[in-house]
Parts: sequence; C-alpha cells; structure tokens
Amino acid sequence: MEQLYNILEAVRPDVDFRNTEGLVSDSYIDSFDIVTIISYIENAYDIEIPVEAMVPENFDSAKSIMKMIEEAKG
Amino acid sequence: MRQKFIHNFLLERKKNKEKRNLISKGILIPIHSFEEYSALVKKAKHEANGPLFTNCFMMPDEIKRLISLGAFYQMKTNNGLAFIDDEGAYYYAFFYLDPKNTFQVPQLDKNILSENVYRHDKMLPNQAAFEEKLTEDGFTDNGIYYQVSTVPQLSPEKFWNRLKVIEKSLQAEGKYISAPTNKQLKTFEKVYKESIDIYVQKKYSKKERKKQRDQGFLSCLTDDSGEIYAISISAVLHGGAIASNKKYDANGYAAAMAVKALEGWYKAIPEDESARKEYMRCKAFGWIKSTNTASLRLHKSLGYNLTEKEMHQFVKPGYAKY
Repeated sequence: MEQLYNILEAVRPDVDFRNTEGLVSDSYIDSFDIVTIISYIENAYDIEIPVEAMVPENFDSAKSIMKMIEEAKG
Repeated sequence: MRQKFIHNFLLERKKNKEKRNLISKGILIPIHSFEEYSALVKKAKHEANGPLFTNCFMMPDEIKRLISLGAFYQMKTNNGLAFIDDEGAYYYAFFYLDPKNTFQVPQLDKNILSENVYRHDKMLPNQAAFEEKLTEDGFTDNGIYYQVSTVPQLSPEKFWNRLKVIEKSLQAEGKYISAPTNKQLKTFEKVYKESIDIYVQKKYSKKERKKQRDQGFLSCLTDDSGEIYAISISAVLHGGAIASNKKYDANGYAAAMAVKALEGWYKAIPEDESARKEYMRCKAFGWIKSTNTASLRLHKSLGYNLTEKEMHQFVKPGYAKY
C-alpha cells in the first residue's frame, strides 16, 4: 500500500490520499490525473488496467485503486 | 437567410460525403460500441512490445457518449491505435502508441487536433517523445493552455462592490442575465462557435444543450428584445466558457458575465469555518490559452489561480477547403 501512496503522492502532492475518500466524486483528482496514475501503476506493478476499469468508482480512494490493482494481477 | 441555410446544408452534405469516402477507403472505421473500443485497446496492448503511451484523457462515459452520437472512429495508423471523434469543425484524436517507433496518421478532410497534458516543467520522457512524433508527422504546435481553478479568491467585500457597479451599469442598459430560452439557444450556439477557440469547443446536440440549460449550466446576457450580448457556460461542462457576442465585443459584457456568474457562489459561502473550507475547495477547472492575456488578466483580477497543469495542442491540417 505504501508503494501505491508514493505513486499517488508523486502525481498529486497536494492531495491527502491516505485520509481522503471521494477522490473522483468530490473532485480531488480529474481524468488527467487518472490517466497518469494508471500509467505509473501499470509500470510499477507490471499489470494492465483495461479501459473499462477507468471508471470513477475504481479511483475514488487509495483502497479502491489497490483493489483494482489486485484484480488486475489476477 | 435562406441562402445561408442552403450554404450550410450543402456544406454539411459535402463534409458527410468526404467522411463516407474516408470510411469506404478504410481510413476511418466507425466504432459502434464501447466493447468494440475496449477490445481494440486490449489487443493493441497485448501485441505491443512494451507499454503503450496514451494521451486519452476521456473516461468511459464520455467515449460511450461519443459512440452514441455516431461520432467516434478508429483511424488507420502504422503505430498502435488511433481514435478520433468528430467535433464538427475538426477531429479530435488520441492515441495508444509506442513513441519510440515511427508514427504516421493519414491526412483527413478536416484538421486533426491532439493534446498532451502535463504538469509545468514535469513532462515525462514518453510525453516529450510523443510530441516529437506528432511534429514529425506534420502536426503543428497550436499553443499551450493553462489550467485555471474555478474558485475565485476575491474577498466577498471586494466581490460585492464590483458586482454592484456592474449591476447598475447593466440595469441602466435594460439588460439582465438569464437561462437562454428555446428560441435563444440557436443564437447561444452561434455566439459560442464564433467566440470560443475552435479547438476548445465541444460539440453538443440540441437535446444535450436543452438539458444543460435546464440543469442551470447555461446563461446569457440579454434584454427584452431577446438579443444575446454574452454567454456563459458552467465550468462543469469541459471547463466552461464565457464569451461576448462578436457584435458587442468592445462593451466588456464577457467580463460582466464572469463577475455576475459568481453571485450565487458568493451568496452560498457557509458561515461555518470547516464547511467554508470545503466549499472553497476547487472542484472544477477551466483552460485559458497562454496568449489570451485579456482572459488571464480577468481571471487574475477575480482571484482565480492557475494550477500546475498545462495542455499542449497540436494540429494536423486537413485537405478539404470548407
């Protein structure tokens, strides 16, 4: 989880990913951030995030992003 | 009037004919479903020799919307995947490609716009490689846009003083701000298309515009004659827009709209400190061209902050002389 936090904080240092829910629904991050996050996590975890997974609910918290990563790992 | 109608009709017919020509040659392939799009991307990623770069910033819902409008196509390319959506006056393109390899897209009838978004001075190597590939393929630099927050930092006191001056001035002219009527929506769209940078414009259907109006996202400066002097579109719609009718550019109506548009926001500032903090947090952003000094000045005067993001636009010229 720490690796993920490091990635998220590198993309948006101004957002408190450790304590914030509603990252997308409350507009803390936008679609540009999501695409950047996907690029970083695909490299870091050697996974592929399918385009259908690029939905707001998968990026609404660090926890949901981690869940998506675990699902992509298979 | 009739002549203009016929001209526009013939122009649209010509554009559609060109597009059908491109489709029949296999240069453009209509995409009929999100599943089709998703399968193409998955295949391209599997066949690639390493991770693909993408400048696709659209969420699935936006892509589904474009597919439902019949405006979304795969474009033939020699590297990875290319998709375009038809914005009417131009095509908007995004790619999934290996920026280390050569890159060629066909010339289409209309200009092709593609964008790259990054944080100031933090362009990643693959983003820089992508921009290089675009320029090698004949895309020209169309400039940079700065992302701007849509939460003003002007103190309430200063805002209310400014608004009072503007309201007195508009009242003296018999003008007021309201949502456009059904009849005014056509002129609203005309002002939008004539005033807003063509590559920032988003194409919406009449039905979508009516829905946006009903949701309170559209406003216009008007009077009892029904004339539209300026328009305003909420930032929740692709960053929003404010523009004067070209006929009244010199009157400063766009600036007046920008201030008046904030009235509801300032009225609703909560008393409670923690509620106010959340309220003042920016939840939507706009884009201003780096060369649009008038707009940058206006936004600065209202206390809008630039974020760390910028968007670089590239355009490949089309072959048709519409």
